[in-house]
Amino acid sequence: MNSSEIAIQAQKLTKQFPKTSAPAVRDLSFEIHAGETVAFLGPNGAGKSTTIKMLCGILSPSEGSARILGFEAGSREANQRLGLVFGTRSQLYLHMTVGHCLDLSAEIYFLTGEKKHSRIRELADAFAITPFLNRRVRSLSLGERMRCEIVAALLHRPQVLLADEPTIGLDVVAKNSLRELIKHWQKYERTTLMLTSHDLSDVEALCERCILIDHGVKKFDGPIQQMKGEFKHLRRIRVTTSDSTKRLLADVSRFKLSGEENSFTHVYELMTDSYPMSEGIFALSRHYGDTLQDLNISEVTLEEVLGNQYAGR
Amino acid sequence: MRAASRGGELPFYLRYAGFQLRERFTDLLSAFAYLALYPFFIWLLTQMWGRFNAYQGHYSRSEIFVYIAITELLFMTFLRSPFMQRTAADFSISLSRPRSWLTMTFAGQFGATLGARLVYAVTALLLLPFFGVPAKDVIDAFFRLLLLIPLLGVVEALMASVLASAQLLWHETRYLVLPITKIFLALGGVFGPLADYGEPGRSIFLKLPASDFFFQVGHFCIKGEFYEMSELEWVVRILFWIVVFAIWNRIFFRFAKSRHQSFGG
Repeated sequence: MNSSEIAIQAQKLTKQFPKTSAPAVRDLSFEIHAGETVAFLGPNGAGKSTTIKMLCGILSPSEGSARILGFEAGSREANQRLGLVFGTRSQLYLHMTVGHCLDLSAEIYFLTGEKKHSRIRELADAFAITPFLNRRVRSLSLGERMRCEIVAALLHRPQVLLADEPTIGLDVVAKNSLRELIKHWQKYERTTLMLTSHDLSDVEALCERCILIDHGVKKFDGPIQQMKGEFKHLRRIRVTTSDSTKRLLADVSRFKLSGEENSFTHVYELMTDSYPMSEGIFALSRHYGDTLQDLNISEVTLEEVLGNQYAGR
Repeated sequence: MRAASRGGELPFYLRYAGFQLRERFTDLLSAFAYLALYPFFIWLLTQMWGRFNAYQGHYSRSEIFVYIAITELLFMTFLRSPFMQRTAADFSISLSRPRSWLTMTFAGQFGATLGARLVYAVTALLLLPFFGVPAKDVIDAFFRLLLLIPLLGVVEALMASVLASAQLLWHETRYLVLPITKIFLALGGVFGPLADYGEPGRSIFLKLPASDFFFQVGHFCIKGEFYEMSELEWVVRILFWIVVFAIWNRIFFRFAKSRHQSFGG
């Protein structure tokens, strides 16, 4: 698959559900190139899932069109090249074994015989589900089941993977492990990944680019760093002091904001495009002197940036 | 890929039918519960029939056992709600797959129904001699049943996918499954004793479409002929319903595809 090839294309995609005043998605256009990893973000009800469903043919657009690798979305050719993972919907059969379910999933996508068996073995090893192959789906934990769901979606070597909230409900360990597996596999097979998730740590871990929509309209499309806008230069410095009577450093020209987390921890925000970090650290060292115990510098998270944007809804 | 894949369609749908059958019997507890209830129902309903229709002579006592066994077998495997719920739930996701939802639903329902009926038939074959039914009569009756159930399975699979599509359009239609099965039970099964009543009642009830699927099947298995109907006439009537349900399937599927809203994330 050539990386200049367009894997997903939406052109003026619009979906108006019956008996609703505003369309769920309105004039949405974007292109995703082969091999890209793109997050599709927005608050609840923004139209993310509706868009994903139009891209994979589950819903028909009221207007506009969607294409997967040049084929009309929902066509047999497009579906054959598409893998789907829904965190809230299982594609596996509860009472059957994982092995039986994977067997069926592979055959749905015309994978048969030895090719099917070797592919199942390959993915079962990669996603560490080999011990579950003979277990019934109902006996798996959510994290184990999600790994099996992803294997089922990847069996036919889809060139495009649409993942809708794949880590929903997972604990931190399961989430991290699943992210790593997806990341590794995406690089290994050069699968184009389009991900929706409310967990922005997923997005930061997996995606390079993000499309933000709200009320069905595209608000942003670009690299994740760019989405942070002016916040990308903002650094948060968390100072721990041994002296609880120590006051905050009053330097409003240098620090954008300062405040007390508690009497031992003070937080400062510095715009590094206006003031070098070294100056900020020097000023703080001088102010706290020997009472400075620890100093932690962090970037603004995507979660905060989006929270800021959603707050105005 | 496409030519090769087309060639692989039939074996896939056969395997899918087998998968659905296995899935049905994988929940061993409920499968055993149904299998254990089956002989109990046969005994209980035969006792009831004997009590209410003791003076009638259309069927002998052993024929009544076979009739009840066959109609009960057909009812216990007719339009199963869990399958339809799963089918309706799979509708959205199947639109994103390269296989036809209609064909998969048909194959799944057909396979699960046919397989389940064979399992019940074997159970009945082993049990009925213990109720005093001559083994030869049991074998004859179930051999005749084997001739009919593939055709019946086609109609019922089509009926199931019509109801599953309807559920996507109007969710409340899932409550229709119970009344429909009960109507079929009443008109097709328990009115069997009407064969002993006079006209015009018996012609009205015993020639209703519901009767074609249950009473006529039971009667044919016992007597070797349909009730006041030739074999050809019965086949034509069933084929008529196959065509009707096939057309409804296309219509309901098209509506469901264009109008379903696929709620939720």
